[in-house]
Amino acid sequence: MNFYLPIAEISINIYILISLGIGIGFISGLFGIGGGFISSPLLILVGIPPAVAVGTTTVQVFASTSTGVVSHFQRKNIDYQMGVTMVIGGLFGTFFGVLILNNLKNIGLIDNYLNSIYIVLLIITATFILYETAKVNIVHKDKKFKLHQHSWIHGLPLKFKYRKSKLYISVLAPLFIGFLIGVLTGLTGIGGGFILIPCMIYLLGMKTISVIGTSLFNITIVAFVSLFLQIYINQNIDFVLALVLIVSSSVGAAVASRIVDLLDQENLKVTFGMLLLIISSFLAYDLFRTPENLFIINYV
Amino acid sequence: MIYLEHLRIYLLSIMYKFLLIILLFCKITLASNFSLDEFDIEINSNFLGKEVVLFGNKDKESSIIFIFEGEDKDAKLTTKVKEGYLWINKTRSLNNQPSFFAIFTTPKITLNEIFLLSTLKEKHPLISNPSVRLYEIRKAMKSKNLFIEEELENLNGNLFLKKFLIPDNISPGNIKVYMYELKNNQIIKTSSKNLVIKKGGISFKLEELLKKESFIYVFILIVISLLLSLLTNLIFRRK
Repeated sequence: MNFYLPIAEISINIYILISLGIGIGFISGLFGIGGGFISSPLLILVGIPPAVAVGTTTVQVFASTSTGVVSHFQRKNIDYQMGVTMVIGGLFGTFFGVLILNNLKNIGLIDNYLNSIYIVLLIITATFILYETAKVNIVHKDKKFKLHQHSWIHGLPLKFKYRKSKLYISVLAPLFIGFLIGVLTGLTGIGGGFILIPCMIYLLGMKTISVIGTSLFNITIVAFVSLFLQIYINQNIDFVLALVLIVSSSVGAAVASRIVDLLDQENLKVTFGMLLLIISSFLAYDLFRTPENLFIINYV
Repeated sequence: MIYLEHLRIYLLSIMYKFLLIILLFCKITLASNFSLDEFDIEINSNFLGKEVVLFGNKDKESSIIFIFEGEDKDAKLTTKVKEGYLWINKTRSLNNQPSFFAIFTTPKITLNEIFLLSTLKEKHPLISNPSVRLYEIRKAMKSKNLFIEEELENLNGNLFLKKFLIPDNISPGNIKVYMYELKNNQIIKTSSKNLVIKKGGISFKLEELLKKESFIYVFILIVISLLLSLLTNLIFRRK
C-alpha cells in the first residue's frame, strides 16, 4: 500500500517505511544508539531525496533523545557546564552544517557528498567497535584499561573547572568537539552520539556515569536548533515521514529493550560492527555502479 | 379526424427533433473535438498518480497531434559523469522548463515528422529536437515519467482514445492540452483546454504551513513528536 509524502513529493510503500522504522528502532534499542546515522542512509537507499532524509532524521533524533534527557535529568546525570560548552560549539557547527547542505543541494552534489560522508563515518565507527571488541577480548583479555589518560588536549589554554566531571581542562576541546558534532548534525541529520561518547570518555576523560546524560543533553538541544535551521534554510522536513518513523522506531526500540539482556553483549558489538560495514558497502556500491538514469531533473 | 391531425402533428414534431439531432451529430462529428474524463486532479495523501482518459473524434482523412504541456518552472538538470571509478553529479540550472510533457499522435505521424512542423517545433521545443541539451532534458523527464511519447488508439477511423498516467511526482499547476489537426502536413485546426493539477487535503495544508508558517510547522512537529515518543515509551516500556 503506497502513500504520498507531501514534502518529499513521492509516494512510498507504507509497509517498507514501517519496517524500516521498526528496524532502525530495533537496532537503536539493541545497541544503545540514537539511530540517526543508520536511518539517514537507509532512507536515501529506499528512495527518499537526500535533503529530506537528512531533515527528517533530525526530527527522529530529537524525539528519541529528548525522552532520554528527561530521565537523566531526573537522575542528575547531566554535567550542565560541559553540556553548555559543547552546545555553544554545536550551535555554530549545526548552522555551518545546514549551510553546507544547502550549498550541496544547490550545486547538485548532495548525494555524492552525503554518501561519501556516511561511508567514512560508518566504516570508522565499525572499525572502532570491532577493534575495541577485539582488543578487549583477544589481545588484552586480562589487562585493565585506564580510561582517563592525559594527552595534548589537557595542555590546551583557557582552562575551566568542570565540577560535576571533576575535570580541569581547556574549554576549546569540548567547544571543538561540540562544533564537529554540530556540523555532522546539520549536514547529515545524525545526532552523533556514537562519535561524541568515545570523544567524551577517551579525549576529555569524563566519567562514564555523566557521559550519556551530557551527550543526550547536547544532542537534543543541537537537534532542536537544527530543526529550525533545516526548515528555514532547506525546507526539507517531511511531517508525515517523520511521524511514521518516530512511532515505528519507538516500537522497534521497545521490542529490542526487552530482548537485549538475553543476548551476549560482545557478540552484539561484533554484529553491530558488521551491520555498519554492510550498510556502508551498499552506499559505496551506489557510488561505483552505473546509474540507472544518467540524467536527473529536479524542479525548483 | 381531430385525433388523426394531432397524431400527424405529434409525429412530425418527433421527426423534426430527430432530424435536428442527426444534423447536430453530423456537425459534431465533422469537426474534430476532444475531451478528458477529468479536468481537475487533486494531489492528496492518497495520490499515487492518476489515470486520465483522452477521447474524441476527428475527420477520417486528418491526423491529430496532442501535446500536454505542464507549467514552466525553473529546474536543475543533473548529469552523472564517470570520473575514475566514481559517478559524479554535474548540475546546471534550467529556466522555464515544462514540468510535464506528453505527446500523442494518430498512427500516421512519426515523431520525426512532427519535428518537421515548424509551428510545433517553435511552440514546443521539447519535441524530438536532436540537440544534446533537449535530449538530456527529455531523458531526465522520462526517467521520472514526466515525458510521454505515445500513439493514440484509433478506434474506427474517426474516434480516438488514449489512457495515460499523470505520475505521483507531478508538480501542481495547469497542464495545457493542445490539439493540432493536420491535413497534408499542414495544421488546419488548433484547439486547447486546461487540465488543472492542484494540491488538496492534508498534503496541501502541510506544504502551505511549511512555506508560510515555518515556525508553526516545526513547533507542531516538535510537540507531536515529543508526545508520540513519550506515548510509545509509556506503552512499550519495560516493567
